[in-house]
Formats: sequence, structure tokens, C-alpha cells
Amino acid sequence: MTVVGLALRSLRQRLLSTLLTAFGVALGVGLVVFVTAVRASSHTAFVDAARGCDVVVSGKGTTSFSAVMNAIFHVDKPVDTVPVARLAELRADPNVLHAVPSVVGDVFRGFRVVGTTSAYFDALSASDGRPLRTAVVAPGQVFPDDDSFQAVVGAFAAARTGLALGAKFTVTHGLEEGGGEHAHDEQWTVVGVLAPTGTPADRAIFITLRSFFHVKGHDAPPPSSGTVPPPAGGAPADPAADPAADPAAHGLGEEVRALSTILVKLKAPGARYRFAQAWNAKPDVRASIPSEEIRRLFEIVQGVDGLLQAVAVLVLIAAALSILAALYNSMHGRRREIALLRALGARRTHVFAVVVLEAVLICLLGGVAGIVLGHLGVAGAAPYLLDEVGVRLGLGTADVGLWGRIALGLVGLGLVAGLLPAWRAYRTPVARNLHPVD
Amino acid sequence: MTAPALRVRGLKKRYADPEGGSRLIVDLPRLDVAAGEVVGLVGESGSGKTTLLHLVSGILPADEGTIEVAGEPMTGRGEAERDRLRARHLGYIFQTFNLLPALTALENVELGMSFRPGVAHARAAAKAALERVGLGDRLRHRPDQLSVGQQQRVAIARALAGRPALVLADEPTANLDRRHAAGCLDLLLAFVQETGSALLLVTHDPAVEARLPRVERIDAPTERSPTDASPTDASPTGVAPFGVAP
Repeated sequence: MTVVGLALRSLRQRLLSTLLTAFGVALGVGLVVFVTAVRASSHTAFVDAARGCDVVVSGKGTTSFSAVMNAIFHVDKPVDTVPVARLAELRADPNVLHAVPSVVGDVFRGFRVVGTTSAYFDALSASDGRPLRTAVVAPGQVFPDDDSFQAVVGAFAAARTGLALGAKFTVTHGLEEGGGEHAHDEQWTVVGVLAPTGTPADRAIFITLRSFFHVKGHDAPPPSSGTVPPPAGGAPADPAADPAADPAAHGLGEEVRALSTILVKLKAPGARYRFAQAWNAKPDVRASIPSEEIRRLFEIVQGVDGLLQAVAVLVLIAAALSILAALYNSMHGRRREIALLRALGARRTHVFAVVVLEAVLICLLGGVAGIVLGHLGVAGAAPYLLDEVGVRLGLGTADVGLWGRIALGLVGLGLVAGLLPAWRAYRTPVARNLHPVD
Repeated sequence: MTAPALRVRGLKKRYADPEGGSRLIVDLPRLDVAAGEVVGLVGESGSGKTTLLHLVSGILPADEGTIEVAGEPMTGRGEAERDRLRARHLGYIFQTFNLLPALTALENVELGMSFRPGVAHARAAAKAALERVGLGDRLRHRPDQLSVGQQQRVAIARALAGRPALVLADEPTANLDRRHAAGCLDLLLAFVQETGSALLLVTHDPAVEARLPRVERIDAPTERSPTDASPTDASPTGVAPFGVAP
């Protein structure tokens, strides 16, 4: 019988103690797995969502973070607008592949209504890399670039609001959580519903850009609310003063006077820093790089992440101490067993190894349980995170490399936890304990 | 020529007493057990019989004298080396059986060979030994699922499965009733004969003593060392050797 066999049988004999101490380890490991999976999934979801956009152009008064959150993730409020003339300028830039305008200012049952053009569905893609246009469920379609009151609804928004193909709806003004300030009278018709894309588009309702400006109140002079309309500075763009504001130049209707943001896809994404720098030199716009803003966001989140990891480490240390205490205390009752092993020819190093191995095996058992527990947590949290923040958690998110690091860490933890009890076993006198002891 | 199973010369062992002195526990000028020989060891309680077994098995180091087991010196060696010799040459049967409760009968017997170098097919040997002691149908039973007599038979199988040169038995029948004690002794004597192992058996039981071909008597040493003497530097002067006839 090997040392491993002895250790396993010893653990089996003290099954309750083994399971309780392993559970402590499982909690710590489960927390590590859960936090890591959420972090990795969130990062992937954010990066996927921004894949079709190299630069976001917003009004100067809107912060970079706010611009990116608004343009790509459909959260936050832009506080400034982009003169529509800048769209024409972007479209004329030979470096630009797509320049997609968007305006926000209304909601439908808590879901953001985004005015944009059909190019949005070509420039941005689903998490599988295919353009959003391919996610429109047949027989639906993407709306045309005219002033019709047509809408395309994201999968989650459709499921939650009941908006289906052909459904008609009105919107309320404002971007506040839970509803708007007042209802608009205009009515849109759903012409397309997206299949789930794993992107923020799932949670948005898209309408034609021009219809947004036909809404009563949206064509009013600026309330400087930050949302469109009207353009920042209060003065509608004057084609006479600025030739680029000519509707013929930007290809939108003349009613379109200002935008919340413009999503820019470059022909050479590597040039985005230079491009953003050049555009930031302009007095009325800000050019923001989504990947940079996501990186900054995760730097902030990393603090919380680190806190959770620290909690997990503390749980693991507490678990290791409980293993140490349980094994150390069991040594008193196992004096005769240890003496017998020695009488049968086992060396001190054998009994030392058996006890250390018991601690390591408890840790590894807890590790396996923790990985299962962590993934159960991920599975349990996945619907909530998808509903609340649009992040799709995957069961396979925690990778084998992480498991390897966990296993190594647990072996180390077990070695440390087992040292003191093993030393006590090592020092157990044989002759004195070969006969019945209490 | 086969080496004797046990050869003891001038063996002494002292224990420290609570008053700071030391007390002579074992004083054995000479003891020889030939290969395959069965020898009984009798004496009053406190005469040092169990300590002698611990010295012979290398569990305790001797203070003076020499011990050879199967021709290899047990004295003058480090603890790890004594452990190795014990695993290689000795089998041990205890009064209280000392089976591990977490292990099955088969695993307990196999455990007796686990630390012995060069033992092949330990599981097969363990199974054969259990069948030999009549427990072939109790291989998967744990000690608490066996009767007291069956537990001692498992202990006998554990001591003999590896065919050691010498089996040390410390009152192996003391915890059994007369009928089971006789059966166990029959089994033990027959088994050592089959394996060719020598047997040194400590007993208080006259019925057991009567069954053994050779019996040696030891008495408690009477010498008490000066209170400032340490166990290792106590002088043998004044020691009244107690007799173990060759």
C-alpha cells in the first residue's frame, strides 16, 4: 500500500472533517473562479462590442468615457453634441471606412431609443463577428435611410417589451432610468427584430435618424440638455455659413442638425491614435478611442476585482488554518496508528509524507469542488448579468491555465497547512504508543 | 549456513525516571534464537519483556550490547536504518492486534509488507495469508466487522505474509478466551513452521508456555543507577544480571 493509499483511507475514515475543511477551500477557489470568469467575460464582451468602432467623435463637452459608453454601450448621457457638418467631413476623409451618426434622447419602457442610419448595422458586428444586419430575423429588415418612422429592436429589448415585427410604439423623452420626462405622440413601426447578438445592441431600440428630428420638441431650440436635439451652442447649423453643413454634403435630411456621437471605422485601425489626435485639435469635437476607454474602465474595475481576489485569498488562508487545526488535533487520536505504522517498518518520513499528503489532498478536493462551485455561480449569475449589463458569461470562460495555477497554489497551501501536523506525527514516540492509548 | 534469527549479547536499556535518575529496564547478557526456532519468553510484569521486543525490533535504541537480526546488526545504526531492517526481517503481533480501523483485512495484511523493500505481489501474498488463516471470505471486512478472534488471525496473517526471518509476538492470546487462544496458538505455530520464520513469543499464560518447545525466563533487573547518572553513561558496575539461559 502506498503513502497515497494510506492518506486517502485516512481521509475517508474522517469523512466529515475532511468534507468540512475541503468546503472552506472550495469557497475560496469558487470565488477566484467566479471573479476571474466574470472579469474575462466582461472584458471579452466589451471588446467584442467595440470591434466595429475605432474612434468615437462627440461634442467637445462630452467626456471620452461618456462618449464611448453612449455610442457603443448605450449607457450614460452625452452632454454635448457634434455639429452635423463634421459627419460630412468624416465621410470625405479618405482614411475613414464608415462614419455612422447616432442621436439619443428618448426611451421606450426603459430601453434606449437610438436614432441612426442603416450603416450602423453594417459597421458594427455581433459577438460572432458577423455584421448586425445578418442578425435581423426574417422576414424583418433594416430600415431605409429616409424619414419614415421605422424601427429595429434588439433581442433582449424585444423580449422584455413585447415589441414584435409590425408592432407600433411611442417613446418618452429623456434618458433617465425607469422612464422619460414626457411622452411623444409620434409612433414608430417595428420592421426588424435582431436575434441575440451578445452585444449592447440586444438592449437597444433603433429608429431612423431623420425620424428622430421629426419628433415634436426635437426640432426646438437647444435646451442645452446634452442630448440631441438641439446642437450644442444653441444655433442650428447654417449651411450658408458652413458649407459642410449642407444636407447634400452629409447625405442626411436637412432636418438633421446635430448628432450625439459619430462612430468611426478606419480603413487602417492602427492609425486611430494619429486620427484621434488630429480630430481632437478641432475646437468643437472630441475624438475618443474605445479600446483606451475600455482599458481605463477595467483599470478602475480592477480595484474591486482585486478586493474580491483578496477576500478569496483570505478565505483560502482561513481554510488552510482550519485544515491545520483539524489535522493537528487529529494527531493526538492517531498516535497509536502512527506508532503501528512505524512498528511495521514505516520511517518517520513515511508518516510525515502521509500527513502532508492528507492536507494536500483536502486542498485539491476543495479545489475541484471550488471550480464546480465557481462555475455554478457563473451559471447562476449569467442570466442576471445578461439582463442587467448585457454581458454574456460563458461556462468555459475559466481556462485550463487558471485551473493549473489554482492546482499549484492549492498544493502549496496544502504543504504549508500539513507541515505542523506532519511534524507532530514525525515526532510521535513509537514504543509508548503501541499499546492502547486514550 | 543460515544466520540465526536473533543473536543478543550484553544488552542493557535504561529509562530516565521522574526524579532525574535512570532505571535499568533490560539487562540481558545473552539470547540466541535459531532460524525457524520457536522460543517463549516469560517473566513477571515489569521484567522488561515488551521493552526487549522493542529493542530487538529497533523501535528503541539499546544503551549497551549488540543485537543481530538475521545476521544484520540492529544496534549501532541510525533510526532510519533500524526501520529498514525491521521492515525487511521482522513481523510483529500485538496483544491488542493493532489493526488499522480504516483498512480492510486485506489492506491491513498488505500494509505489513508495504515498507519492505523488494516485495513483489504483496496483494497476492496478503490474500494467500488470509486464506491460510481461514479468512479468505473476509478480505473486504474492516476490523470492526470481525470478531476478536478473527482480528487476531488477521494480525497473524499480517506478521507472516511476508515470510520474515523473525516474528515477535507480545502476548498474542491474552485478549482471547481459552478456546480462541488455543486455536490462535495452533494457527501461529503451524504458520511459522510453514514460512520457516523464527518466533519469539512473550506470554504470561502457563497453557501457552506449555505448548512451546523452548521457554526463557527473564526477571526484572534490581540495579538502580545514581540519581545524577544519565541513561547513556550509567555504569554497568553493580548490575545484577538477570538470567536468560542460552
